[in-house]
Amino acid sequence: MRLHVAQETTENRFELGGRAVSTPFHPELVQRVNAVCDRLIPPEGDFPAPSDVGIVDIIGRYVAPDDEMPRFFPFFTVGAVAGLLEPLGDDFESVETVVQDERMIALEIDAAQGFAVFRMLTNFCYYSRPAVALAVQKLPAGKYYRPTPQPYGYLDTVADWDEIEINRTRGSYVETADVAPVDLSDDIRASVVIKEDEA
Amino acid sequence: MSTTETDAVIIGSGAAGAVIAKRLSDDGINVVCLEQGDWVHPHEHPHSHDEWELEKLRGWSFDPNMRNLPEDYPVTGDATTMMFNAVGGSTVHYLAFWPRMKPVDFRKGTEHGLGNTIDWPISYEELEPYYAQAEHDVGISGFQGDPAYPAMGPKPGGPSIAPGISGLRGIRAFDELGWHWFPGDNAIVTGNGHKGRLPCNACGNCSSGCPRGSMGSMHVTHWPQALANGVDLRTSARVSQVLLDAKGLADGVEYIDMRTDERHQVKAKMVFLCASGIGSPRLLQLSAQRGHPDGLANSSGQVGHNLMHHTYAFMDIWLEEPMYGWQGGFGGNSYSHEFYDTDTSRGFANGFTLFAGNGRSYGAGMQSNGFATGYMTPWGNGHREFFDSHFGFHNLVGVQGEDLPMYDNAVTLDPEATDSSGLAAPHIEYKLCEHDKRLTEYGAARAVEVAEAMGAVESNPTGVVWPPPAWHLMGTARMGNTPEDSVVNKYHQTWDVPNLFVCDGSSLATGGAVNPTCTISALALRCADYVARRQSDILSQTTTPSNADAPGF
Repeated sequence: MRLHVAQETTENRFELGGRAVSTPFHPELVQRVNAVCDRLIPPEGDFPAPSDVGIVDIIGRYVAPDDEMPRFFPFFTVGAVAGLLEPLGDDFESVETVVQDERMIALEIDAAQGFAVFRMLTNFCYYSRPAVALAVQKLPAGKYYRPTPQPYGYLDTVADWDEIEINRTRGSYVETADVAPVDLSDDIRASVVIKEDEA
Repeated sequence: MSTTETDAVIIGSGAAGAVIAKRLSDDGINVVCLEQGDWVHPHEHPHSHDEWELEKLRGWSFDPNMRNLPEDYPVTGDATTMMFNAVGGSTVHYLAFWPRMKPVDFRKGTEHGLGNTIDWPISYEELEPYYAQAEHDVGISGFQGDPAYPAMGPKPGGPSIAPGISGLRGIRAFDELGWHWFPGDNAIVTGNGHKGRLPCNACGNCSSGCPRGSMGSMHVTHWPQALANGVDLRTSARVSQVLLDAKGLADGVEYIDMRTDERHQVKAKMVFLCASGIGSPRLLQLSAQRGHPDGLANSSGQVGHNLMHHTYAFMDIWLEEPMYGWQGGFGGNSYSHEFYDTDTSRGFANGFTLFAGNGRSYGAGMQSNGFATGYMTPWGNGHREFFDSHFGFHNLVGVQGEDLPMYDNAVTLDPEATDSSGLAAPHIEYKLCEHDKRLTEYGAARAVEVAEAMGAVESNPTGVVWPPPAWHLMGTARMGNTPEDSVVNKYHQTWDVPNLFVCDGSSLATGGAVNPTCTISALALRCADYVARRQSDILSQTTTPSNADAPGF
C-alpha cells in the first residue's frame, strides 16, 4: 500500500473503470503479461485462459504510462510491470509450464509485494470478464450469479425471513436504573494497560 | 477573499452535519454548510461496471490513503482509517447497519470506570425520542420486538433486509446454541420503498454505496429538504481554521475553495464541527490560536484523546451447501447480543456483538482474492479446483467488541504529512490494551462455536484484527459532565467557547459494541433541536453553562 501524497488537481476524482483508453504495452510485454496470467489462472473446463479474454487490455486500463505517477491501485506504471516480470527470463514464454512455475515461485519470493499486487489485479480483471462469469454460473454454487450487482440485484433469488424464526428469539437488556458498579478483580484492573511491544 | 455572514456554519455534511443543517433550516435559521467533497452521482457507483470489485481498492476504497482523491486527506499512524468525503459524508459509503446503543452504554462510568471511561451526561431515555426521529428520517427497516432492547416503534422503511441462505444459517446456529439473535435495523429501505426511494434489490454491494438510493445516505435522506429550506451548501470547501472574535467567541471559519485555491470566510453566530471523529479534533488542533495554544477548546486536554474504533475478529468459513453469499443487502441482517453485557467472570468488562452469515461474499473477484480474511485462491495448477470448490460456499462470522476510551489513543497533527491544501494531516496513535484483547479473544472463541454450529468444514480465523479496521471514529471530543473530563457539555457546546459546537462520532463518551451512525444522527438531531429552541439563550452566553445550569429544552 502506498501512502497518500498531496494531489494537485481535482480532475479524475473517480477513475471508474480505470483509464478510458488502455495504456499500450510493447509487444514483448503483451506476451509476457499473457504468459504470466495464464499460469496464475490456467485455463480449464469452461474457464478460458486469461489471454483469451483480453487480460492485457483490462490490466492496461489500470496501469499508468511511464511519464505519469500512478495515483490509484495497483500503483503500477508500464515500466514497473515490465520491471517486475523481467526476472522471469527472456525465454519465459517458450519454456515448459513447469519451468515457468518454478521461475514464478522464485519471483514471488524475491518480489513479494509486487507479485502479490499483480496477482490480485489479475484475479480481479480475469473474474470481471463476462465470459468468465458465464463459467462461474456453471459451478455447483454459481447458478444465480450475475456479472454485476446492478441493475437486476438478487431480490428474485435471495432467501427471505420466516415469521416462525423471528418469533423464537430470546434475550434481555439492563435498564438504566439497574446499572450498578460491578466487582472488578485486581486482574481486570491490571489489564487496562497497553503493552507497547505487543500492541 | 470573500466573506459571507450567516446564523450558523456547519463543517461537514454527513451523518451529523446534514441532520443539523436540515433541523436548523426547518426553523428558518440561516445555514451555510462547508463540505470538502463533492456530490456523488449515481453513475459514479461501480455496481453496473464489469470491474465493480476492483473499484473496492480504488475510488470506492473505504481508506482515504488508497482512494487518493483530492478531497481526501491523508491519515498516518496506527489503524486503517475509513471515511468518505462527499456530500453525505461517510453515509455515502458505509454498510448502513443502524443499531441503537443500549441503556447500559450510557452508564459505563458507573458500571466500571476502567481506563478513561465516564458516564455520558445524558441517558438512553433522553436520547430515545431522537433515535426514533432519526430512524424515521432515514427510513429504517427492521422488525419490532427485540427482547435485548427497550421497546421501539414501527420501522418505516419496511421489514429487515432479506437474510439469504447465509444469514438464515447464522441465526439457526444461534438458535442451536441458545443464544440471543434478532434481525437488524438498517438504514436500507425494503418492501415498497419509502418517501419515493427505491427499495433495496438485494444486490449485495452496499460497500460501494447505493446507486438506487435505497441506502439511507444523507445526500438522499436529508439534503434535498435542507436545500429546499435554503441551506447554502458549498462543496470542495475545505475549512482551514475556526475563527474567534476579540471576546473569545466563535466568529466563523476560514475555508479554501479547492477549485480555485482561494480563501474565504464565513462569519457566523454559531459554528458546528461535524467533520468526524478524526476531522473535528484535527480542525480544533489546526485552530490553535491566542488563548488556545494547545488547540481550540482544549483546556481539558481531552481534544483528540480517547479515540475508539471497536475491536474485531473475523472468521471466513465454508460449508457443504451453497450459501450464495453474494446476494442480499449488507447492513446487518441479524446479530447476537448474547455477550453484550458485562460479566466479569469472563475476565473483562464490557462485551461484543456477534455476527453470523452477515457479511456478504461479494463476487468472484473478491472470492478469488481471499474473502474477508485474505484466504487467497492459490495460483497455478491448484487455482481452478480451489476456486470452484469454494465459490458460493462461503460464509462469515464476526466479532465487534467495545474498546475502552484510553487517553493515549489519540488524534494529533502529523508534523510532516499534509493534505492537498497544505494543511497538517491527522496522525493516529491507537493501541489495544490487554483488557480489550481479552474481550476480543473471548469473542473469537465464541465465533468458533458459532462456526461449528453452522457446520463449517473449513475456516480461516483472523484472531484479533490488527491493525484494526477503523470504520468507527469515536470519542475524540467527547461530551461529558465537567470541563475537566470532556470537550463539550451535554448540548455539544464546547466548554471553552459556548457558540462552538462539536457533534459527530467524536462526541461519543463510550462506543458500546454497536455501529455508531444511528447514535451520531440522534445526537445531532438533539443538538440541533436544542439550538433551534434556545438560540437566543445560547447567543447571550459568554461562558458555557454547566450541564445543570444550561437552560435545557
